[in-house]
Amino acid sequence: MIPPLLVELALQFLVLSLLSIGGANAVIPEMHLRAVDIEHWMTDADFSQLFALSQAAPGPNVLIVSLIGWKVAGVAGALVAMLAMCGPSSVLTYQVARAWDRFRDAPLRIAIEQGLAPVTVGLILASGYVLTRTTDHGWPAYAVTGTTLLLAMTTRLHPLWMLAAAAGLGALGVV
Amino acid sequence: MSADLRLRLSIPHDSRVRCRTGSNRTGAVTANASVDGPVIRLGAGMPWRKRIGFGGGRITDATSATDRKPGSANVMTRELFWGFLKIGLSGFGGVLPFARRMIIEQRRWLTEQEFTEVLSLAQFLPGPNIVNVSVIVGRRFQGPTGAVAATLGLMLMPLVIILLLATLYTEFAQVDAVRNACNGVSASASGLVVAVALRMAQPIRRTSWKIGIGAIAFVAIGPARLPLLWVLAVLAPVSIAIAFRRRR
Repeated sequence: MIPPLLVELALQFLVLSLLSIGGANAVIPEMHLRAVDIEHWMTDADFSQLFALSQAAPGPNVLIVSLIGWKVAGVAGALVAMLAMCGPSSVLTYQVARAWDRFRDAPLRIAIEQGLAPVTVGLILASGYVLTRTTDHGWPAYAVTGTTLLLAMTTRLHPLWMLAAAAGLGALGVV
Repeated sequence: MSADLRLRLSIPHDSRVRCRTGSNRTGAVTANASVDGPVIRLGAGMPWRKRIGFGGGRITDATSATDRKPGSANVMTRELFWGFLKIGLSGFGGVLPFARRMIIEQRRWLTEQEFTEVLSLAQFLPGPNIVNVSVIVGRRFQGPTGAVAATLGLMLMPLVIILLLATLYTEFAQVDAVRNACNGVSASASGLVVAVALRMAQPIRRTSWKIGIGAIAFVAIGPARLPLLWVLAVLAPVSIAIAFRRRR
């Protein structure tokens, strides 16, 4: 008998998988909505801590999915959530890749690419907004967010240094 | 440029170039050679057979290296697994730059142009971009086995590491310094996500309807917190329709 919690996890992420146009970052608001507000799996603070962990570890951004699964149902939850998140989209990608070359210059293909690009930008910007609202309490945190944004836009500094500096400031009790 | 590089690599191995004079002429040959579809052209006018002095027919070996078709490729399943394992381990806060460097520059699995095509497909399809890249690249060389091997390689180590980190974190979450450090990281990482969005917005900022669509998507999902399914169900077809009508 499969625990109902695992089934619920799988169902949530199977849907998200096919909605995640623009990658895992684009569906962070939706993950937050489902995990915190709809399913009550965790609090706002839990979510922002999982997000921090997923950013501090090496690997793709989609790892936050495995952490949500882990928080809900341990290691099994992590694996189920990850498989559900990557499964449907991977199968779709595999099938489309077969036909891709034939439609290289098809007007509709170009229109799909052109049309989805701005949607993706809007979604990821919304992710930044939701994350900032969820994680930042008080002006020091907003200052850290703003400084990181500025550094990332204007310098070629590796993001890891910014995260490390922010961790240091946090540990000292500044943020 | 990369075609030239490939040729330089592949002629000595695949085509068994022998120079009649005994002097090292291969450098001169490859410097002038260019791959043009199935034909290799050599520069500087002189008949190439006379000029370089090796038998014909084998040159096609060199073209096959640049003109790889799915299925006919020479990247083994094992290589795909280990290659993507390395990609998975090397990226912090986004893996794509590392994937690009390894696939194009270090292992030369794809040319710059091929990688860009793979990436654009991976980005507009749903799913994590880098996972889609691993599926497409794996499939290209080894079909379903390759796609699974590449994706498993990509996810394996990061998954193990993050679960270890998460276990450690719960152990030490009571320590104030650890929890505060985590708050600092998430504040900073939020800024990184905004930066990614703004950088992606560069190519669309000159087109007013694209700015409009992007703004609507932002407001609907961000401040308004509408469900993603409905937002996409309305916005994606509208945006694609506009793009279709405006195509040149």
